[in-house]
Amino acid sequence: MGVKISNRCEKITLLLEKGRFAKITYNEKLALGIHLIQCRACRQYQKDSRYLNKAMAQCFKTSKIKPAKLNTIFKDSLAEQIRSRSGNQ
Amino acid sequence: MQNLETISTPISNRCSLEPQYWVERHADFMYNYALIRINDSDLAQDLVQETFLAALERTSTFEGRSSERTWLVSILKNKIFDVYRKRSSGLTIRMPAKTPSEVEDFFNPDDGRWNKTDQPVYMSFEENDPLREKEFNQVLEKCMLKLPELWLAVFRMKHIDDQSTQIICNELRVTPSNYWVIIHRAKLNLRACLQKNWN
Repeated sequence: MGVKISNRCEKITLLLEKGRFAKITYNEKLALGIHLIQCRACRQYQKDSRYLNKAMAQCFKTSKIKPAKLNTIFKDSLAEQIRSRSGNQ
Repeated sequence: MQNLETISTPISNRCSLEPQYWVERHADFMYNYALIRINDSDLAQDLVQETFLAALERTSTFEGRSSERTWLVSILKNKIFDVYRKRSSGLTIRMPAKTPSEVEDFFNPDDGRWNKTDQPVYMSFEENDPLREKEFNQVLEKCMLKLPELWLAVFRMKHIDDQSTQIICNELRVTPSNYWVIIHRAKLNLRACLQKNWN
């Protein structure tokens, strides 16, 4: 008596996310494969999800990276703080 | 024996700390490091300051095995994790009441199938159109910022630092099974947001 893997789209899409990065069982893989053959919406989700991983990584790496500089006043005062504190040691 | 060896290692062969040059050498780098991870310039600035001051207090723990910058960044990193944890405390896996949708909004609770309105349909974003890439990234960024802080922290750690699932779970104190639920819900919400706002 094998464990019955749910055929719900909700569970299948969760399994899909998990299966991309972690080990899932043979039965889970099988259930996933069979479901995907039958379900167009989940197939679309699979594609989009894969794309989103790439896009998100890209987005994190590019968007906020316009190199920012701390303002000079802040830096000067910070340097001063460090100087005074390390002098006391 | 081991003790003897440690004692006899000449100090001059190790990296040493030069706090008087920290600001000049590392401040901008660390500011950027914090900024892309927490997306808040005031807070990033505070963290840089806190890191330097904390580092000063524990210069004796610096063993010279890594560079000065690596050592400073490791302190900063811990402060960033603290921010992630603080921002997400109280909303572990029970999601915030108002923001993103629960799974019930995507799937029919009876048969577990996609609701008609949320069913993934073909979107053109996979076609690589360089002209629209920037525009797409802007929409994506907006959608990402709508996610709860904890979910976003997961993605930041995963994609900016390529951290392993185990490290992310430990640092953010989520269980592995909750981790997958977070990824799943975040993706569902992100996808839906893009479907609504893109094209």
